[in-house]
Amino acid sequence: MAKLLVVDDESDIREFAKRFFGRRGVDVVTAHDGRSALDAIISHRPDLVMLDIQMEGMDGISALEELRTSGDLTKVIMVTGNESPDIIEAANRNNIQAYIHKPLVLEELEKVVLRELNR
Amino acid sequence: MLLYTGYIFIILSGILLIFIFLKRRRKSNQLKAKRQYQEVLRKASLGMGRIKELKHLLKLTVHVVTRAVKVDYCSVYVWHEDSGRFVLRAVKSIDPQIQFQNGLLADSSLIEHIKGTHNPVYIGSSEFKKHDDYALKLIKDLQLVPAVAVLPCFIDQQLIAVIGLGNKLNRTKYSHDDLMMFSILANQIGLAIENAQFYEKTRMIQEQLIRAEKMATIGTMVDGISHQMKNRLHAMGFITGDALDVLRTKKWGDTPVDMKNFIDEMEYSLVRLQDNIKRGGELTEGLLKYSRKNTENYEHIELKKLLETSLEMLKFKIKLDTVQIRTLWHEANPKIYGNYTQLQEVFFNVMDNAYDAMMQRKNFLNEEGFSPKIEIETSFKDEETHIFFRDNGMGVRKEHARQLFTPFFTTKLSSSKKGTGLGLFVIRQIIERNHKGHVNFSSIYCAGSEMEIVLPVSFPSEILPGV
Repeated sequence: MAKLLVVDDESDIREFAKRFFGRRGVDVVTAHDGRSALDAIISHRPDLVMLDIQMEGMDGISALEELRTSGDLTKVIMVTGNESPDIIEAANRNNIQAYIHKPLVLEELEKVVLRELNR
Repeated sequence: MLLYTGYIFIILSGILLIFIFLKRRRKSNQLKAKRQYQEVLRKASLGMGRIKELKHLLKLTVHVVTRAVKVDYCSVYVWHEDSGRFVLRAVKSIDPQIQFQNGLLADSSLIEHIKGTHNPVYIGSSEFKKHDDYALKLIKDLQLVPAVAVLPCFIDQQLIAVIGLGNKLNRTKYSHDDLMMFSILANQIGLAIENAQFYEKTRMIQEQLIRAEKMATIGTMVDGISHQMKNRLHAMGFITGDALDVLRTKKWGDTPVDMKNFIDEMEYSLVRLQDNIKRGGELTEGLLKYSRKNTENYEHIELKKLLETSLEMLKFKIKLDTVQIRTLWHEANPKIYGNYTQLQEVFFNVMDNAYDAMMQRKNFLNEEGFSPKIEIETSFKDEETHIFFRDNGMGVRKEHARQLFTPFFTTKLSSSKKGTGLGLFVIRQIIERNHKGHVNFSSIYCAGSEMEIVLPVSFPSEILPGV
């Protein structure tokens, strides 16, 4: 069973992402900030991480950088509001699979997530 | 006989004495009255300097002059730079039928005469007895005001106001002393007017500064609010998408028809909701881009892309489909070195101004068949990029053109679109100070304007960032 880690500080997003991908037979685990995401990656070994950039606590970019520095190459798709070019560049340097722009259309997210999980 | 002659002599002497006595008394009464009104005027002029509101000051001026000098009427015309006229600002008249001219043109014979002589003009003075062309012209101008005497108010050789006087109620003529007294009074009034104008201008600038500061605060808040809005829309998108998914993935095979119709309607509504969430997202993204004041991010920017995103931004504010937009991109599509957000703000403002000018023309001139057009052209020569924005809007009066880049100057008339007067000032700051470029503006009133923005294709280190 493919495993997806949804990292977002919004509980609504975590809840509905779990419901949506759960119906597609995806095992969804969640984390509410960068730090808990890094822990979840170690404990759950997800196939794909959907990582929000702006979060309370450790943000998405810091978590991504720490992940890559530790040599972990887990696939990551970033969820971006409207970040400045510096942040986008930092994400690009750290080997990510895709960007998802807020607010998203779930069908589009589904395509990207399932494509990456089936690769 | 001698006695008889003596009586006659005594009687005549008595009459003469009475006559002299009465004459002296009349003169002394006149002098007393004169001193009295001079004293009233002197006191009033001393108090005038303390009045800070121009309207109040001018009202007091006409009131005091009519009451103290006892004249039919008194009017005050104050110089108005924008219209190039002396505009009637206060009047007091015992005859309500008298029609006063609203404005006196700067090049009228009367005003030019006053500017030349620096003296009051009085219809009863000797120079008007010549009846030559010059005198007749002046008399005609005086009758048009109307005024019997006109007193100039000079400040530093500058005529800032004129005061028109009617006839004295006792029908006596103005004496030389009167006119001298009025000259001094008029200059005192001039000082008080300048004082009040200065105070009003300072107050206006202060109000504008507070407003600009408020706008700046809102600008910084927009960044945070947009992020929050986006997060909410993002969650709504998720929830709506999930609800749609539930409806679509469930098998509805043996469901009754009316239930199926209900499901279809729900699905239709959720799709519409999703579209709106997406549009809301685009709007907040636009706001975010606009509000972000990035003072450090200087980069090589593709000019065409920059102009196109600025046009996109404008769509959030105005109906672009009511305007014909023609774009002439230079084939080289040169890159410029600058701050994307700041330049986007400049182009957005220039096009927004052009739009306002065209709407102003549409509404004020009411021409048949008028169709608003904006032309954007880029060209590239001598290491410089030239961007032209041409519109067929209202244009700007020649006398206003040089003031356009002054902070807080605005010609936008209608209250709903009245500008802060900061737009062009900020544009010049961004282009000239931050990007080492320059701005040229030309305009024909009632025909249109052209704004040329020149940006150098320069070495990064030459640019000094920061507004």
